[in-house]
Amino acid sequence: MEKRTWHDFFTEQDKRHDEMWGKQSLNGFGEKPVFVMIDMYYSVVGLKREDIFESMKLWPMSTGLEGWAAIDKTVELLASARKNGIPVIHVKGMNSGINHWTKGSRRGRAKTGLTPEMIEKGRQIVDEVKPIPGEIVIEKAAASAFHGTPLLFQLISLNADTVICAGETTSGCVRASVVDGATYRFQMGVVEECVYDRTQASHYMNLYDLHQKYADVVSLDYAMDYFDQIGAAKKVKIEA
Amino acid sequence: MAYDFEDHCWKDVIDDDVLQIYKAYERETFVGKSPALLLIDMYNMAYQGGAKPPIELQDKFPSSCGMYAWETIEPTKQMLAMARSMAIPVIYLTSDQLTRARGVKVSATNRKGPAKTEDAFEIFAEFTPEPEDLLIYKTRASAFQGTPLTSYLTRMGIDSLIVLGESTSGCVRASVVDAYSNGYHTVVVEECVFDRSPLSHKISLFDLHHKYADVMHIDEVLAHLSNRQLVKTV
Repeated sequence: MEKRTWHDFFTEQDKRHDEMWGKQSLNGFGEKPVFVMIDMYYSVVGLKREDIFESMKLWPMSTGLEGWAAIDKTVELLASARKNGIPVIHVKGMNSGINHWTKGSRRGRAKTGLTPEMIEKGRQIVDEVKPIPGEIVIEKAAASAFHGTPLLFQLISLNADTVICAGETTSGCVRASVVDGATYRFQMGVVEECVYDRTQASHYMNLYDLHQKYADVVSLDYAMDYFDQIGAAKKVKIEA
Repeated sequence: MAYDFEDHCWKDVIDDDVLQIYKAYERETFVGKSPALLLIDMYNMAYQGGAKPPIELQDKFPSSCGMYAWETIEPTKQMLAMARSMAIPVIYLTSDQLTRARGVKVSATNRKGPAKTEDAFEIFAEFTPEPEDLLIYKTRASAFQGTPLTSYLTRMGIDSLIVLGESTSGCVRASVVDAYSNGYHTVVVEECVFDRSPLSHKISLFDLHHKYADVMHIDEVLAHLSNRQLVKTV
């Protein structure tokens, strides 16, 4: 297979291992995909398009320009999903008090200068990819989009066999959701240009892990071609 | 105030043979050590039209439990007052409208019904949640299915539940069975749960009491809790 982006992070041993045991071909996707966008809200990119370190001054969770670049790519993928009649599900954090899944994870970090209004703004899905009427929005209280949410019921009732994912972070909620999705035996797809993280090494190594074990990590072009094929097949069915 | 194990609302519908068969379930009932109060689907729609027989409300308010809902209001207020006085966490469940997108059929039951009013799934005004209470939105019958309820219970150190709400045969029953499956000791307060169908109500409580939960009268539950309060102050 061609050299993938994560190869630059391999040690010599990893390179050899990958040659011997690395994934040789894609698992493939099914006929009923659903497009799931995970945690694409303002607090992980800030309100302005700024370099990560600039953005972090106000938004400590920011992924900076890499996040914005992924959002711009996701706009294209989202338009493709909508055009081709592929169900779209937005997943975001639930903010009901007991939100953090580790105790004391914020200890020892500087306080942010965010006002309550800005914190609320930070919880909103960014305008570029915001839901339109008829699209499902699911709130979660864990890393995985499946844990403690009705996502599984929705996918089953939509008769989905494939879940294509965008969003953040690659190493956190995307990974947890993809692992759970694969566990429920959905064919999982991760669109490389549309997922993002605040640490590059985590981003690439998690893409590698997900691609090896649980999903096909594919390019935006590949995903859009796939959505077009699904859309075209639908039209044929309707006409027939 | 001591109640016999079978001294409950199902007495008039369960015959002696069945009681004999169910003898093996007989045991002491109790309220768990660190309980939370779980209020299931106590939203406006269940109370609409007032304290009338549900058949009279059928046309205008098909989801109302009418008089069966209204007779639980006072006991429910008592339970809530007791829980709040003892800082027992209060958790409300209501129906999730966020994921009810057009054309996607994921709801608690297969019931048909007319268009809902805006405040249909808001908690009934007599039991308005306090800021410190938890409000959890569910899409299915069980409070556990597709919700973060267990995560919250673990985080709050809860080992048991006291269940109130509706309907006894639907969401209450499903939630209590799941609570048992998840390892929580559960008390169902007989005077604080209701259903449109008295027979379903009684049989569901009978089933739950024998297999999965302790169905207790409100004065028993209040006595258990106030004894605990005394021990604490000593």
